[in-house]
Amino acid sequence: MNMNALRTNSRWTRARRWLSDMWILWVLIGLMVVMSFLSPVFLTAENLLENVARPASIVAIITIGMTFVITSRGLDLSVGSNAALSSTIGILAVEALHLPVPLGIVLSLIVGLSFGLVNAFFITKIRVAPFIVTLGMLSIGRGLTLAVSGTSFTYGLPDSYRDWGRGSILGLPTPFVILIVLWIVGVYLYSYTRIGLYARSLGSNESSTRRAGINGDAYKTLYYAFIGVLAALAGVLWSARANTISVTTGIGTELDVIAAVIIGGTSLFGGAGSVTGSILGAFALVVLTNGLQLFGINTLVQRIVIGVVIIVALAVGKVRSDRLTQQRGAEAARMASSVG
Amino acid sequence: MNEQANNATRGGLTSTEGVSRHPVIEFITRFVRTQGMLLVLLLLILVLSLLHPRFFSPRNLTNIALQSSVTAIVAMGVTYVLISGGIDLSVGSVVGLSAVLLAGLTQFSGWSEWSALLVALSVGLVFGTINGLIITRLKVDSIVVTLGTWYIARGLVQLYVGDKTPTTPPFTEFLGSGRVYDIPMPILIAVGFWIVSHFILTRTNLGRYCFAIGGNEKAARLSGVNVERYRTIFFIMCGLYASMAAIVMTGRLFAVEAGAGGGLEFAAPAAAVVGGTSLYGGRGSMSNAVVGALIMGVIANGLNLLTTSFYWQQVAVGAVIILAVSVDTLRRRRTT
Amino acid sequence: MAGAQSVTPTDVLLVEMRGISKSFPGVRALDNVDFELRAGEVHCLLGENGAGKSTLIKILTGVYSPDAGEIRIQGQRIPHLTPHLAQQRGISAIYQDFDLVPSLSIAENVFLGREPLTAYGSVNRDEMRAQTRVLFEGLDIKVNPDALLSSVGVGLQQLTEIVKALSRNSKIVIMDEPTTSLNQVEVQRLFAAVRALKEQNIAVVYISHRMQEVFGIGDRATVLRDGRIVGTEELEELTTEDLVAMMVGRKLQERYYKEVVTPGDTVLELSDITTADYVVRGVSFRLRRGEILGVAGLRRSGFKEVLRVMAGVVPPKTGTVKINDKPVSLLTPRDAIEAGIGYLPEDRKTEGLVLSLAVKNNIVLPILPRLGRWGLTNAGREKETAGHYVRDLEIRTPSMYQETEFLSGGNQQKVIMAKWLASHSQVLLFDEPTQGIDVGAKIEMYKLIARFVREGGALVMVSSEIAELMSICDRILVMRDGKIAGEFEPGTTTEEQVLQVVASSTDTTHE
Repeated sequence: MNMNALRTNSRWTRARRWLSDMWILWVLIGLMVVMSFLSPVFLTAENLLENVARPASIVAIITIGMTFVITSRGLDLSVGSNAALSSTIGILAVEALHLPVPLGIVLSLIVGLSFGLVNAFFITKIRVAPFIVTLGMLSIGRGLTLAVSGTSFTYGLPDSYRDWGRGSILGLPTPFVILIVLWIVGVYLYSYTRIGLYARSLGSNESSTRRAGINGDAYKTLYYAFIGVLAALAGVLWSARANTISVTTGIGTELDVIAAVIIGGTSLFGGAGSVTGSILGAFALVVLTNGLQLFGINTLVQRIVIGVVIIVALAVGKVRSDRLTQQRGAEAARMASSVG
Repeated sequence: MNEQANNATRGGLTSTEGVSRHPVIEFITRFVRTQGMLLVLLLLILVLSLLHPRFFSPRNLTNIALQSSVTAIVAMGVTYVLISGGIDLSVGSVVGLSAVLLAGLTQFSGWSEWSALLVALSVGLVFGTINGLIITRLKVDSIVVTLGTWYIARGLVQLYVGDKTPTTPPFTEFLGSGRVYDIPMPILIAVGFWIVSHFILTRTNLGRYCFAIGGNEKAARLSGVNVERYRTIFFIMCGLYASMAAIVMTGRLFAVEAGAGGGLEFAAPAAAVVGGTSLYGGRGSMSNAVVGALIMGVIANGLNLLTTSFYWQQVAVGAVIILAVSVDTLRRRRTT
Repeated sequence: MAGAQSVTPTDVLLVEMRGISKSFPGVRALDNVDFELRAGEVHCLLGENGAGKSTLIKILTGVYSPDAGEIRIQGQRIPHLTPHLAQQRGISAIYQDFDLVPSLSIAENVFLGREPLTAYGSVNRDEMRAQTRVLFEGLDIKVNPDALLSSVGVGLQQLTEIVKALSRNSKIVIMDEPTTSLNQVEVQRLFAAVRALKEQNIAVVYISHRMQEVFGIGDRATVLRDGRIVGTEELEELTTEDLVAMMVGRKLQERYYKEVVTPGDTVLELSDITTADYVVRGVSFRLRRGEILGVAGLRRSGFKEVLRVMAGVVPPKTGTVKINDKPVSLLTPRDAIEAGIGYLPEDRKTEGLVLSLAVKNNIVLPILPRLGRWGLTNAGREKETAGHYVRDLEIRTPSMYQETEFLSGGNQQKVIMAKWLASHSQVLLFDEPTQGIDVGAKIEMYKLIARFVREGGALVMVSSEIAELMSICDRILVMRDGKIAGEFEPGTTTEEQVLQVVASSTDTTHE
């Protein structure tokens, strides 16, 4: 055993390991450098804040929850539909029942929470595969959104509501500020508490985790509830920014979020991940599509790009893990031959 | 009598119990156990017939079959993948891409009918191959890969048509809207697919390998089955079925929108699973896909007749997916 | 007392098991067994596979409840021992597949589910690291508690299990063949750790086949045979020969069946086979028609892996395989099947059968292309073939359409056998042919094996039960460290001699 190599683990090597694991950070920086060379508009405060940070923050908020879910070997495909339903119900309550705006937002978050709890019920109690449950809930959420809102589109939300999406705090877009707060909360939960530790543990070896006396179902429920609330919050920010409720809110968001989480370094096979990486992943995707827009490339290409990015990220992950097992195999072979 | 029923269900134990029961009771218990979803379909039809006078008319029933035919064809393609232990969510946008290319190439680019048809079919071929190769070579989860290719194909659709809506090429009209002996063509085509697919699944080696791989991949490999090759073939077949369904669908429409085929990625696997094909591989049949598509068609039609809003259909589809799989899961948990 | 240790076991009894019996359908796994553990002793538990060791351990850890008998832990009688209760009472078991989480660090694994918390409710990592270091230092080992479990070797993973047990204040630590995948350095470290446990007055149950280790680390030994206690003795007063004799005993002749067959031509020849992972290194042997060749060895000695090479599951890195004097390349299972080799894996349910498929479909799975043309399944010939073998091998099933998951173990094994007979295999590779099947079915299996070789087939059989190899095989190869360490003919050797070569640990190969 190479005990020496294990012992030399100072703060510095840990930081270096973190930087090399955070390859998405380099991808993001590289993308931004390329974009600013190619387009003079890219590196303006206006573009970065309004066209990158504002939309990216809304998606990035959901990726925080998705990091927990995917780390624990789950999946949530219903986030976009949850965002639409929760925000629509909240806004309708404000409009029709003249609920104060903050209460309307709280109502949205409660709807999102319930949505997550329903997901969790079927996943933990009936043990249905997460992707089927959340796929079904995707459909249910979309249908309910249409049912409650009808075909009428409400424009012109109260200003105090709109400020959540379009406003700024200290010159930074409000959604971005909210993201920063949630980022700190997310990193704390993921890296410093049992909540994150058990997500990694459940994702890596669920039966051992349960045998260690951990209530796996309770923690999984927590993750789906958490992502439910975050999806609802993202939906609120969305509607506030767009100044409308729209049944199309969040269509395809689940893919953006999953793509961001995968390229951010969270393993689809569970057990390891990074909240910061997921957020950076969301920003990298928006920078990429924003850059394409600046070149006048059809925004519709975005979907193709994201689809390709998901598959490339899967391939890269596979190659990396293959190399790792190869290294360990070679090591084992060396050991075996040195014995004989 | 029915081999596929043997593959599809866990029947047969009754004979070992040695308890002699009345043959009618025996038949009913066996029927409920093996054809439970067919029973649900019949019950649904009965209930809706009582609730609404216009439901049980030849015209409306034909309509349901017509509306379910495209879903049924796609669901039969997905059935191969499901039985072999995977899932394909890309089918909805493969249908969409095939459809817009078929209509667009003939209308905008003046391509001949046959070359446009070939392109439409090759969409399914290409996407099926890509799905199959990535999943078997990289050994990654089919959910995420096919979600990715679903996205790619949907992007390509929008890129190609944008806001334009190419009109249906005339030659597909017969396939989509024609009638033979007063039976709509899509129904006849779907029945044709059913017969052929049932044959493939129960009377060819390909079908045998499908069940073997989905039942136990390791054991199938040790029995000399080239698992990677056959899993790829099942994804290709699934893609081709989606493309062929797209041709029928195009014929039913006046024009093809960018959103064409949307929702099938969920509806098709859901139909197969609702009909009784296991999401966990190894068990299922083509009849399950047809029954499942009809159940979803009946629910949609019934809601249409009973309520004015069509949104509840989407809710019902989601609820039916979750409930059907819950039942499947609970049944598996009980027996193992 | 025992060995060179300065610490002597005290007379405090941590565990007393009296009159323990346990039956499973068709098997009496334990019959009136007494077992006791003293504080600070290393108590070795010995016996062949199926002797009842693992049943005894599972009763002690609360996994099984005994049919009869009583258990006292630290003097207190416990009528209904559950896994949770056993853990509370200080019993920890370390199995061969560890109960650890690969993606967590060593410290996180040690404290999983019992993490120390800070005042703010977060996980107190500094505390966890410090405590992990201290616990490891108690075993004289320095570790980096932050190292991911998946990045450290098997030896350290095992020590992590021990430290986990220590952190739970375990008084009794059970180790099930702890050295099987360790190298020599790791074994020495493990032994040092076990000695450290003794010093802390912890009782260790040590299960092993390796005599060297038993004498190196143990204080007392209990030998089980056929579910009964043969004896519990101080190891100081025993020799290896005594112990082996206790394990083997006299076997009932009617438990086996063998016919005398005159061997024919060489059908299979392996020359200098080495696998990429070096688990098999430079193995050569020949197999003749009519011959039953046994291969014995311990875990990771390469004895099972060599079977997988011939089955086309693990392609060899170097070396050649010849069938009937013609070289064949075995890159996939299909190649092996085409070459006339049939493989019956140890795990019937996960590798041998597609449980959801009918008996018929399992039997004809490898030969579908031969039965029909143009990819079409010839249902008639399918039924004919499967029906023939169901009758011929007397497979007990309501019909050939029955899913194989509802068959008994012996009949499942027959279905796999039928599969290879139907594909006209000349060579069968049989991994633990009678594991987990009842006595009557075993005899039937031996008769089928005898018939197969009488009719000109050849068979390679792997078994951890030496007695079985001695009774069934014409020749036995013993593997150690991936190489052939000895060749025996049952007629001219005793079971003790074979077992000694099998069980001698790696150290003795360098004499």
